[in-house]
Amino acid sequence: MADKKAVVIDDEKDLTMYLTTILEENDFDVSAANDAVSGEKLIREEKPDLILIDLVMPGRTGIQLFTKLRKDPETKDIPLVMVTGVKDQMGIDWGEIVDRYKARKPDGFVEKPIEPVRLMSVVNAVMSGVAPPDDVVHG
Amino acid sequence: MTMQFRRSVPLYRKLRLESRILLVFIPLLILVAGIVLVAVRVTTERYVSEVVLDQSEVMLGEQLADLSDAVARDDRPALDRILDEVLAIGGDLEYLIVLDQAGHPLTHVASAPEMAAALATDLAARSGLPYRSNWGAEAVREDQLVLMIADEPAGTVVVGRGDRLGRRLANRTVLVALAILVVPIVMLLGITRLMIRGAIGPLKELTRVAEEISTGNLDPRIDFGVHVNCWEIKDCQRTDCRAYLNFTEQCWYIDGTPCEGYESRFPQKLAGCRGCEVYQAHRGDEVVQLADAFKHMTNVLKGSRKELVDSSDFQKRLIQNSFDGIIASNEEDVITIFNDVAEILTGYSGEEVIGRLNWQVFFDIDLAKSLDLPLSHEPVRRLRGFSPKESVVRNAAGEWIDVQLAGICLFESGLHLGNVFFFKDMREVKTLRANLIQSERMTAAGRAAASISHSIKNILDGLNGGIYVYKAGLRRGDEEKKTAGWGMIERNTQIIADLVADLLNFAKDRKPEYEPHDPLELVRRVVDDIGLGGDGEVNIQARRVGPVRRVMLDGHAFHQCLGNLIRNAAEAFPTGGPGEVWIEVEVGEGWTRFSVSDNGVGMSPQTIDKIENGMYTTKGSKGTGLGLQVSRKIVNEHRGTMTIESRENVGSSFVIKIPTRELSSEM
Repeated sequence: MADKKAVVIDDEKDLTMYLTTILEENDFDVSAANDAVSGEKLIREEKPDLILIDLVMPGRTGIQLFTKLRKDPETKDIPLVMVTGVKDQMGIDWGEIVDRYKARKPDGFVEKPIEPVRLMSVVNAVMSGVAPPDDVVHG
Repeated sequence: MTMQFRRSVPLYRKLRLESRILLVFIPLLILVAGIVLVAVRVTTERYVSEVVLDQSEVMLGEQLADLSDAVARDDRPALDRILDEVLAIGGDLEYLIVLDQAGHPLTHVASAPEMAAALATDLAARSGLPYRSNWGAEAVREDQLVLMIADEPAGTVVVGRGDRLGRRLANRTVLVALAILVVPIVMLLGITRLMIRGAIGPLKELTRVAEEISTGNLDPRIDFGVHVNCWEIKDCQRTDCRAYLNFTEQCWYIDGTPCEGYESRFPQKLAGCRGCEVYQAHRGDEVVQLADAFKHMTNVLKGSRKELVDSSDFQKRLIQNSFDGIIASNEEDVITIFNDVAEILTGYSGEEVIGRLNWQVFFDIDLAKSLDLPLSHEPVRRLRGFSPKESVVRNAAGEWIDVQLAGICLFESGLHLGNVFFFKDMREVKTLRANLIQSERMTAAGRAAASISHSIKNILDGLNGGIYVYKAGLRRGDEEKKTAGWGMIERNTQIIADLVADLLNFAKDRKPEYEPHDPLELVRRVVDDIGLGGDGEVNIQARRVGPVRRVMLDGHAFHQCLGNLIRNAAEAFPTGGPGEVWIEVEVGEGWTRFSVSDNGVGMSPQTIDKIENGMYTTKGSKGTGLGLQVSRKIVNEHRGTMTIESRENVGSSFVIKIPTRELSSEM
């Protein structure tokens, strides 16, 4: 019986299914959304223990949703892991981007391709409140 | 050339006189002559007749007493003797008959024996009856003279007169009169003829001159007027002047004479020369002035012709030495100009082509339509044709050579004069351009390597994810998971296939394999094949503008080209839908248009700029930007264009326009 709730937000349905299945295999009760707007609505309804957001999505991007959640007292403390493939593609300094939004950094980062063991190590670290492994944390 | 005055009387006066002579004097003279002749003849004849009668009366008068006595005595021999004496007068007196008082014939005499016999026979036949007058031939007239004795009528003498002498005399008189009248008429006619020849001759000469000029001889022989020598009239000693001692040409025709105040060149100098005493001395009658006018005209024409020839030679050299190939044709499409570059490029010589071949031998026959398109908006010039564009020209070996070609259709007063084609050899440029494109493409491909590798990572991610989800489904006995996992594996396998196809297409050059296609059918097949039409979130509509037409294009390549655009449009929605994608196809005269539009997120001008200048994707980790580049490459291979219009949060529109040949107007 799942005792933790998670919300996965990714515009790619296949990746959403993949992340959902990994978390389900690790006893999470997972709700999924494919865009930022319905994802935010889901978070407010479910009040999850963990949030996974894809950084790049059409329309309102993951980073906009992330900063909004960080500013909202109701959601700002929910552990949040950002799923991204941006850094190695574009060489973007994630820390700099987050600084621009004056928001607290995500609790953890997971880079594509998704490796279930690595994802869960980040998730577990985030959930337990310790710093995630270095090789997947940026900024 | 010698010039002499032939006439000093004005021509109009000569012609007026001649026309009067011809029209009035001669007919009048002939009329008068006719009247005179008739009058002379009648008068002469009557005169002769009267003279004969008078003479016979006189003779009879002289013999009256004897005649009366003889009648009274009925002395026939005496009567006969007297009558013979009277008859001896001769002339036209034909016979005499003596009647008694009762009118019975007593005796008669006649000028000729046969007449006397006939008369005797007649009188004998009428014996005992009074004489009834008007005996004899029609030409004979009778008069009767009454014989008186002591104031009493004693008898009558019938005098019969003929007309032979009178007629002969009258005829002779008429002949003399005719001779007197005809001579002046003939003389007048002769004079008139001479005068007419004098006036017509110069006009004939002028006609000859005009004919020579009209057939292109601008140096005809003109022998009119006197040659005036300016150096004599002006007492000029300018031996350096070209007119000095020039006996062949008048000074006003000679360029560069140093006369003060005169223009140096004909015809400008003529206006000044007209007031000169030399020119004045030359003035003759109208014929001479007309001849001079001809000479002025030929000199002006010679000047104009020289200018035209110079200008034409310059233009010919310009055309011949142009860096562009130039081919011009007349209104019947037969080639009239074929310059050096055209010879080099096509391998034909001008002699083989000019006047022998049509322009269609060298260019695509479909250019005729392009030549009829308006080139300028200026209505007066009526320029039609097409601006420089990539095309081909055929050489002597039948090969098509890549050229940049412009064509102009020439009109004059609404009449089609011909066409001119200007073309540049583009083979080297095209090779360089192709190399450059290939190089740019390889550079872009290099830059895209990271993007592609990332895409491959995503695919791997998808495959791993699919396997993971499928296994989870197996473990849990969850069919939904198994189906989802398998679907992920299938989709990512397809993505690999698409990516490989895009990469292969992008990396190599290929010529389109043209086949007949209905563009809308092609679009519908693409929509079906990429499986986007039926998920309900994105509504894709395809429609045709205008009639159904089949055109030649590479169906396989365009399937890929349109597939990329339609897939991009369908993915342009932040939440995956709902959204609208409109695809439109239109076939015009020589072109086909495809447009793929959506009401998705749209793009900023900066994003459009990035897309147009290289491999770029708005899909982040989910795209490579390769698809759009492949589409653009396919469009370029079809010699077409692709334009992008987009507004953020409104939508995007990709419009492809390619030149196509229509297969049939209606199906």
